Amino acid sequence: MKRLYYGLGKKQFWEYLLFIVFMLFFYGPLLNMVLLSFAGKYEYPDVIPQSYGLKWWDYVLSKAQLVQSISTSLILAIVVTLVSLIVCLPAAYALARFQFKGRSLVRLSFLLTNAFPKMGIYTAMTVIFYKLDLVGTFAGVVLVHLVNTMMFMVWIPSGSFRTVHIQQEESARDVGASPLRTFFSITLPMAKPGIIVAALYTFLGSMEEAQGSLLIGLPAIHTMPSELYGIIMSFPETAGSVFAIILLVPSIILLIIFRKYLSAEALSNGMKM
Amino acid sequence: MPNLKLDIQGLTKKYSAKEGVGNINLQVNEGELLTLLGPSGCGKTTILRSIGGFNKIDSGKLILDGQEIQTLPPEKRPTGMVFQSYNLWPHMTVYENMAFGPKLRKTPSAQIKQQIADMLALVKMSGCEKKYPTQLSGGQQQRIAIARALMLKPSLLLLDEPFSALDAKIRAQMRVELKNIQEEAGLTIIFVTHDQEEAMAISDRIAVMNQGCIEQLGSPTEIYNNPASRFVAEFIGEMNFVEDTNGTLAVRPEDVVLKPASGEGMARIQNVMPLGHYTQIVLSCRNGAALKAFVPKEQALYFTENQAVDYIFNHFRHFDVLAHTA
Repeated sequence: MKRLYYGLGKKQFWEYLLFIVFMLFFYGPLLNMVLLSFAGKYEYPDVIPQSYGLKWWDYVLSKAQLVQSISTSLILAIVVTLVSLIVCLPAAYALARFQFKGRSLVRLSFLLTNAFPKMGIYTAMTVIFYKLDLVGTFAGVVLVHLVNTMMFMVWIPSGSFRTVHIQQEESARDVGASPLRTFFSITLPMAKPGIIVAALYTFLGSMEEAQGSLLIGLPAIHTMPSELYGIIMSFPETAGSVFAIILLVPSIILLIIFRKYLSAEALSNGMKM
Repeated sequence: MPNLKLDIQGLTKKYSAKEGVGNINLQVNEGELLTLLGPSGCGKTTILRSIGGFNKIDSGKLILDGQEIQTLPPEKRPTGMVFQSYNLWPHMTVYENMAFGPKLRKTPSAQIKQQIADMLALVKMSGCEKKYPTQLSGGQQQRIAIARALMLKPSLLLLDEPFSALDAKIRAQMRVELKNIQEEAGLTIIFVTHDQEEAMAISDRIAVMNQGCIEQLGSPTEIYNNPASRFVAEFIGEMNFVEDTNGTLAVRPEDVVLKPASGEGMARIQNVMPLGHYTQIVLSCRNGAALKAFVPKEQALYFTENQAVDYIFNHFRHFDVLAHTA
C-alpha cells in the first residue's frame, strides 16, 4: 500500500481511490445482481452465493407468464417507439420550422407531463381510460407510455430539424424534389442523429416504465417491469436478479449499437428554447 | 436585337406596407448577366426568390421562355438557384449532391456520371466526386453549388449573393470564373448582391434598387457616369455632392482636378492619403464643406497638407433642388 501511495504520488493515489469507490458504487450492485442470478444456493446475510448454477434461470424461464411479459414488453416498446415517431416528428418539425403564435407555449406543454408526479397523472388517466374501455388493453398501455416519451420525441428531433438550414431544403426543391421527397431525402437524413437518440430514449423509457403499465395494463397486460414488482414481492431475490438481467439486455444491446449517436450535443440541441 | 428570356410584368410582393417590392417591370435578355444591386432590405432577394418560386407573389406575371411560371412550385420551374450559403447537403458526397436532381428525372446513370465530370471540369473541381461538403472550403462549396445547379441545364440561373460569405480575395477570383463559366456555357444569369464593386465587375446590366423599386437600369458604365438619381449616385462608387445655388452637383473624386493656388485658393488640403495606385486628397472648401479628390500618385507629390489649392470639375451631374430631396 505504501509502495503504491508513493509510486503514484499523493494526488494520483487519492484520485485512483475515489475512482475505485465510484466504480464500486456504480457497478457493485450490478455485479452483485449478476452473481445472484447465477446462484445455486444463496442465503441472505452473505454477499456472495454459496454455490452457483442456472437453477433460477430455469425457474424464471419456465414461468409462462414471465416469458410472455418479455415479448409483451419488447412489442410494446417497438409499437410505442413507432407510434411516437409518427405522432411526434411532424410536431417536432412544425415547432422547428414555422413561426406561429404560442409556439414556445406548445413546446413547454410537452414538458408539463414530466413536471408533475407521474402517479397523479396516471390515476387521472385511469379514470378516463376506464370510461373509454382502454383499461387492461394494449392500446391503453401504449397511450400511457406515449405521455412519458412525447417530450423526448418532440424536443430532441425539433432541435435536430433546426440544424437543417432552410436553404438546404430549398435547394432540393429547386432541383426538382417535391416537399415530401425533400423531407425524406434531405431533412430526415440530416436530422437522423437526433431522431435516433430520441427513439432510443423512447424505447428504453417504454421498456422500463412500470407504474403506468401497472395501473392501466392490469390485469390483462403484463410487462417486464410490472412483473418485476410481483417477483420482488413473492419470489426469492435470486429470481428477481435473473429477471432484472433479462430486462437489462435489450437496453445494453441498443446502447452499444447506437452509442456513436449518443452525444451531449444531440441532447443539448433539443433542449434549447 | 437580343432575345427576351424573362419578362417580369408588374411583380408585387408585400410583406407589410413598407417591406417588399411593388410593381416591378424588368426584361432579361438571353445570355446576359443582370445584377440586382441595392442595400439590404431593398427587395432584390424578394424578386429573385419570386422568380425561383420560393415566394408566393401577390400579383404580376413572370414569363420565362414565353411561359408563365408564377404559379408553378420551385420544383417545376426551369430555374436553378444558388444561395449565399448552406447550399449543399452534408450527408451526401459531391457526386450524390450533383446526381440528386438528374436521378429524380430518371436520367441514366452513365449519363449522370459524364455530366458530373463535365460540370466539375467547368467549375475547376475535377476529381472531388467522393468528397463530402465539409471537406471543402467555402469557395469550393459554392463552386459545387453552381455546378449542381447547372446539372439540370437551367434556362435561367439565379444567384443570391453567392460569394458574399467568402474572403475578399477568393470573392474576386470567383467573379472572374463566374464570368468565364457564363460565357462558356452561354448562361442567362440574374445575380443579387449588395456589393457595388462586384456588380460593376461582372454585370452586363445592373438594376439599382432602393426601397422596393428599381431606381435605374443600365450598363455599369452608364450607371457610373450618369446616375439617374441621387440615391444611385451615392450608392455606386464614391461621389461628392456640392451644394450650388440651384441644386446639387454630383462629382466623382477622380473628376476633381487640383492645382496649387498662388494666393488664398478655393480650398485647403486637409488630408493626403496614398491608396496604392492613386492618392486620396480631402479638401476643406471655403464654405466649410469637405471635398474628396483622387489624384494619380505621380501628381500627388505636388500636394501636402494645409496647402492652398484651386480645383475644377472635369465632369459633373446636376440634380436640381426637387430631385435631391427625393
